[in-house]
Amino acid sequence: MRVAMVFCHPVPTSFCASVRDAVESALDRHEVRRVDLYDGADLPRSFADDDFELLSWARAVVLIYPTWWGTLPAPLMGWIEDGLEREAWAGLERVVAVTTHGSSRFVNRLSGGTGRRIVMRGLPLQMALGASGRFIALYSMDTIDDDDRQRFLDSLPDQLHRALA
Amino acid sequence: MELALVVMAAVSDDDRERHHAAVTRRTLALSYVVETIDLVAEGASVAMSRTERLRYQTDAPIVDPLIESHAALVSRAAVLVFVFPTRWWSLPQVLQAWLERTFVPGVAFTLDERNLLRPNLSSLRAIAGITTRQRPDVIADGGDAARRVLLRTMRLNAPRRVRTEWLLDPDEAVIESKVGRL
Repeated sequence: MRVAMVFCHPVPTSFCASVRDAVESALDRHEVRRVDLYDGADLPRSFADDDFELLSWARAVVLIYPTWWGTLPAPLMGWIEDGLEREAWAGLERVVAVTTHGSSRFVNRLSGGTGRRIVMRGLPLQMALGASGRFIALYSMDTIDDDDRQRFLDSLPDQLHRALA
Repeated sequence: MELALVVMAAVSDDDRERHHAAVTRRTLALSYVVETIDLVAEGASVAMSRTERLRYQTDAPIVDPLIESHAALVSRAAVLVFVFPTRWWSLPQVLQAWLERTFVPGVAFTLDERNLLRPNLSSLRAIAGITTRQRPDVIADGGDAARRVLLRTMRLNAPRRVRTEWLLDPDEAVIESKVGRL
């Protein structure tokens, strides 16, 4: 499948960057193009013409980001909404979020599970007929240990395989 | 008198946000000292920078002097009112980024010895959102994201009994009545 991988985290050495690398290895049987909104800069870039072409080319989008305020980081949400304004998502069939949460699953439920709703329902309804979303999440990443974090990375190939099947 | 802080993200072309903010300020001024933050006019950044993220878990997480002054107002505020347009589901990027950059450890919350979040906005008694919707028919699809972020996620930083109010495309009378009771 043609997959656009979109990464949004300001710090290149973050755990989220390890998640991105694990996602990329897990997608080795797919045709993948990568976008990194910060790409080593201090501030991220916004939606550009190349992104429109990328989303027109792809059948699936994999979003890799830290969950902040229960939802997607501001520049990624802005990038998505700018693409929606231009109807760049209209032909896509699958959107997959791979995201890390500092807080627990319980706290995220209290805070409304905002990002999950956008990925599972808001976005697919703006995509191709029958499109769907998948939400792959690590919770409590500030309080679990390295083994738990590694287990999450190890689980990604199976989870992504199912998400893109 | 207590402080009421109006935070405006007037990112669309029409002037409804400015009008809503003006009515809100006028109404709040009957009971509070009112301060206004105009994110677009003040040139607030639309993203957390790498520098800010690297400083996030230090004792000095704020880098930008503008945000430093905003954080001081947030810490003292009894009432927070947000005025903004909703394009699809979420807050405008500049407002979402402002939350990420202003409501940092030591301002909005602290982390206890187990790294769990403890609310720190002890003056806060009420939170309100006033929004104009560009696509009223899709907002529910995205789980009404702006509302969840401002009323539910924000509450995790506030005292337990904080009041909330949410106004969708309100007219002047509705703002006067609802904001007047905050």
